[in-house]
Amino acid sequence: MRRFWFYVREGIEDLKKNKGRSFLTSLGIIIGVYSVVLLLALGEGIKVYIQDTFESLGSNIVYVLPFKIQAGRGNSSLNAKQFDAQDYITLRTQIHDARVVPITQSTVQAISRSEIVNTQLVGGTRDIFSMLNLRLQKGRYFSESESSSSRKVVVIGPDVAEKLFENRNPIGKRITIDELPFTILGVLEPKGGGGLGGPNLDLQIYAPYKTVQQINGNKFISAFYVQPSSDTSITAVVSRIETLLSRNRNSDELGVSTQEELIGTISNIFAVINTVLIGIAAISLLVGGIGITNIMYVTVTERTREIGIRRAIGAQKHDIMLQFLALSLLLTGVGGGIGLLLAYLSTLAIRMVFPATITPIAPIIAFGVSFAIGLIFGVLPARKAANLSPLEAIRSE
Amino acid sequence: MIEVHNVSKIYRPSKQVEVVALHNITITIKKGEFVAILGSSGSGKSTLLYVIGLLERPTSGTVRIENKDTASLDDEHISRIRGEMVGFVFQQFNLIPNLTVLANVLLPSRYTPKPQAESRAIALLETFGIGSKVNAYPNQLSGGQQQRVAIARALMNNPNIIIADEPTGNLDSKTGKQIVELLQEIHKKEEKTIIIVTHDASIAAYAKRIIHIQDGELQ
Repeated sequence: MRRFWFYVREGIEDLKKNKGRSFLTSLGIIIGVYSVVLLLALGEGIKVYIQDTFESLGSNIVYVLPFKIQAGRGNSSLNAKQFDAQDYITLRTQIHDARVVPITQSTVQAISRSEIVNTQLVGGTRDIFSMLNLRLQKGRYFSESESSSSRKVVVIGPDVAEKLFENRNPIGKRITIDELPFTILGVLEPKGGGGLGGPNLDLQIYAPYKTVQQINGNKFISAFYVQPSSDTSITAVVSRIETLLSRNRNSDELGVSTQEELIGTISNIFAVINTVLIGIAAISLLVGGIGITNIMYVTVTERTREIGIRRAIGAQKHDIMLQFLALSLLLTGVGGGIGLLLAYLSTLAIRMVFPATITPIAPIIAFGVSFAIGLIFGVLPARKAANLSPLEAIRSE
Repeated sequence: MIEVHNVSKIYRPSKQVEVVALHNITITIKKGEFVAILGSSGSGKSTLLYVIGLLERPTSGTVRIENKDTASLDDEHISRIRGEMVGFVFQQFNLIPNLTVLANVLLPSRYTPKPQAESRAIALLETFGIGSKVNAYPNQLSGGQQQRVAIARALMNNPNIIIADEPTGNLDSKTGKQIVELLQEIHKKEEKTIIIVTHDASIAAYAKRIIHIQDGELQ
């Protein structure tokens, strides 16, 4: 071991003498470790991001969808058998210890006097605002009676207000949605979202669900949001909903998920994508490793005479072997360190817009992989060096 | 004591070609002898030297060093004996270019650890008049200075045998004379066995015994 450190010190001197070449040799490892660690950090960030997004949508919500959400299988949301008014009545009358909001949706064009914006119209009851933590910036929510009488009133997200009215006050103004006139009651506080191709929550418009059904031209309900009161067991509510709604549906036509399950499912999908990307990045580590082998062969050839001299003055085969292994381990170790550092700096920059996180396991992976590559791809050249005939080596030019 | 018995060395550079470098050589070199092996180029003198120095294995015959038969030893043992008992001096000096003078002299003690290696190395360099060059690199030294460093390195582990392959071959005659006188002094003061290969009779004349070799055979 003491001798090994001696070879490491000698190796450091060698690297200093060949800075340019050492750097180029390590570049493959630098890039490989950089991409792997960065992708790990992004993967970690996605988990946090999904968690945050869902939590900002209100907590403790049970999502009732007309299809099963499953990772690894295409879902059938397009030809789902949607819910109807009867389902709503069933839930509302049979589940007393929870609030139920029916959700209807439509992709619409909203037009003010001078501007047009394409957006998502979300229909619900008044409870949708408290359930999703949607707070008002100005104006008011629509009332229960406005909701049940399907009045053409809307509460708009701040980005909609900004796009349609710029700095003017939109409260009380008229907008046209799918050629029908609507009155603006309120403007919501900013909520964020919109990264990763997810919906921009600030660009949504909320209206009574029956009004949205009119626009859609049908009586369907696309989902229910159910929020059990705080002293009620969520699992009990979930199984109650399942029992009530599965009477006239197949098992794949109903998906009742808690927020945690939904987060888990979506996170899993991203984790699979992330793993594939890391696999691709790992290929560059392989290429980097081959570069190490290549340059180590060159080094052995260049230093053949020195190897012979060392053998003549008492170095055993394993001394030579260790010397060259130390050199390749140094190359990959330094490469791994630089890659890790760059990934860390990039992560810091990315954190300004996205919660990427370097976990404590990342350095272990970075150095573990680097040293493994140094060992695997350094062994052949090192063995070649060790097995040279000492006299032939000394006599080589 | 070194006993070379019936040693032959045959090289086969390719399947059809056979080069007999040494043919049935038998010599005995006593402990503390100063021997010169004299021969023209291609005579097999260097091969004989490296067979004695355990860098080359004979095709047949035996080499015994201090009553130890080396034929049966594996590479690890041979390397260890080389490190402890033999010091090499080469025509090309063969210092390692990216190590300092001191690191070069210390190198044998890295492979065969010795106590107080550093102070011994410095003392050797000072004795040879190059104490001020401890931290210099080989390419900053003259040929004569480099060869002194090489001799210091050969003496580092205090081996009983010093083997020198044309040690003056790359030096001018004046410096060459100084180097061979240095070897002679080491022989006298430290009672080392010194075996020197040369094609120069005036260098060989410093030795107590001269072994003539031609076409792989002793004359």
